[in-house]
Formats: sequence, structure tokens, C-alpha cells
Amino acid sequence: MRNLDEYRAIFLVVVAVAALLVASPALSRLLVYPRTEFFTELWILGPSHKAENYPYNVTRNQNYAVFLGIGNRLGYCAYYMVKVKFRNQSQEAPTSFGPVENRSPSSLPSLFNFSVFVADEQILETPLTFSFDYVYNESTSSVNFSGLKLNGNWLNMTDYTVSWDSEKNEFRGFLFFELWLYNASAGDFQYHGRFVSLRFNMTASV
Amino acid sequence: MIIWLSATFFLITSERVSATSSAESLTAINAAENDIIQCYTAAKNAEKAGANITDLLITLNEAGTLLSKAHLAHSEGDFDSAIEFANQCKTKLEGFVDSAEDKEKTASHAQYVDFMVNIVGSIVGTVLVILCSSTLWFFLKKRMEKTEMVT
Repeated sequence: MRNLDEYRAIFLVVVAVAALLVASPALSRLLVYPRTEFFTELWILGPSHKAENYPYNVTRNQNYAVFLGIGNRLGYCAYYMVKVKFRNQSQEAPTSFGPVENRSPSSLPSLFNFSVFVADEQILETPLTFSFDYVYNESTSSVNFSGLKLNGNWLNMTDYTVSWDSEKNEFRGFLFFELWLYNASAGDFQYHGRFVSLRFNMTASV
Repeated sequence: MIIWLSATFFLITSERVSATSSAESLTAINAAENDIIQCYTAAKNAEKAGANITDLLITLNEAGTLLSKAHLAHSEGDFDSAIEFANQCKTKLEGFVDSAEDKEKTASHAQYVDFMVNIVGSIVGTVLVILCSSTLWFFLKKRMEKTEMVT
């Protein structure tokens, strides 16, 4: 009869495999590389849901469609606020580079704010349809706005003007979306250091 | 004179009505905002406990849209619409906190069961596999030794 010690190696392998199999549920939870980067993605897509065909040459009262997307990688369900603003070429844009705490939003008033709740590791895309109402002022060579219609909401833009840019040969305006994040400890929204912008040439018939 | 008095009275009254409406509108908006923050906190806690909060977030996003409309109406001086939107927002969130807390409790229980089965059960099972195997090995070895001694 063969000695049992001859089977020691086989026995140990079988036991090790069985132990690993039984331990696998615990190992799968304990041996997970922890998340180290927490951030938010913000993007804007054109009407075909691709990063192309963004509206550029804008006509008065013509509807344009884009998609605004937010991806939450913060590790918790986030309460965002999107501030919709408009600026001309001479007004300053918000900043989105450098440490988040050093980035600053635009000082311009927002035309409209909308809140977005996104669960951790989830994305949310909001379709946006907009049109501008404006008139060309020949004497001042500028475009004077009266309003922006955004997703059916009429927003007053009576104080907004865009002057002729002789370098670029256009009436240049920017519709931009700043992302703000609700800070529970502060009890208020804080600029999240991100914005996306659409550049327009406001076409005017003389 | 009568016309002047009537006009003055009308102006004073309408200003007072407008001021009251503005204050009422702000109160309604603030109340809706507080509700949203409360509901968001409840949803966040439920998510932390491991609950699926997709349906809760759909409701929150709908309420958020109504609140945005309330803010817009207020900024345009349409206080009646602002109050209406703020109230719709509050109505939308009725029962939300209870639902979120239920989800949180269910998820906490599921997480406890998951911990007991997959972590504790798995570790205990592994220890048992090693102990039983060692016992079996020594039992077989002793039996073999006895058999050898007899032969």
C-alpha cells in the first residue's frame, strides 16, 4: 500500500484551491483598489449627439439644439446647479484651469439656473433648445439682444449687446454653462471650476 | 381731485399687493428649496447605504425643474406663477423623505446580510475548510499508521 505522504502535495493543492474558492467573495470585496480621483465631467454635444455641427452662425429666432452632459465621479450623489450666462468678446470668461479652489466663475449675472441631481458613477444629459431674439443696430454697428428662449423659457437679455469684431469679422457672442456644486457644510452652491461654452456669430441682415 | 385720489389709492394698494406677493413668493420658494435640500440629503444617505436611488433622482430632477421655473417667474415679477411652481415643487416631494428612508433601511439590511454572508461567511468557511482538511489529513494518517502496524 502506498504511503499517504506521497499524496501530501495533491492534498495541499486541493485544500488551497477549495479555500481560495470559499474565500473569493471576501477577497473580491477586500482586494479592491480604492478610488483616488474624485471629479465631475462636463461636456456639450451638437444636435446629432456628437462633438460636431455645433451651432455657430446664428440667425434671429432660429431654434438650435445641443446636449449638455454631466458625469458624476465624486463618490456621492451630487446636487449641481448649471448657471446659463452670455458674454460678448470683451467680457471675461470664467476660469477652468489650475487648482479648483483658484478657479473663478464669470462675474456676469446668470440668465437662468437649473439644478441637476446625478448619482455617483452616473451621467445625465440634458437636451437644450434655444433661440436668440436680437436686432442689428446699424448706427452703433452692434447687435442688441432682447431675449433668449431656452427650453421654452423666455429669458430677458435687454442689456446685452455684441459689437462688431473687425479682426474676426463677426458679431461674436458666447453662451456658456457654469457648473456649481452644492456644499452641504456651507449650505450653499460653490463654483465647481468647470464650464462649457458655445461661440456664435450673430448674423444680421442689413 | 377724485381722479387724483383714486390714482394715488390705486398706486399705494397695488404696490402693497405687489410687495406682499413678492414676499409670499420668496417664502414659497425658500420653503421649496429647503424641501429639496432635505430630500437631497435623504437620497444621499440612501445611496451611501447602497440603495438604488434612480427613481428618487428622477423625482428630485423634476422638482428642481419646477424650482428653477419658480425662480425665473419671481425674477420676472410673476409672483403668482412663482408661488404656483414652488407649491408644485413641494407637492412633487411629498413622501419623498419617507421613501428615501425606507430605501436606506432596506439597503442597510441588505448590506448587513451581504457582509455576513460574503465577508464573515466566506472567512469562516475558509477557516473551516482548512481545519476540516487538517483534521481529515491527521485522521487518515493515523488510520494508515494503524493499518501498517497491524500488517
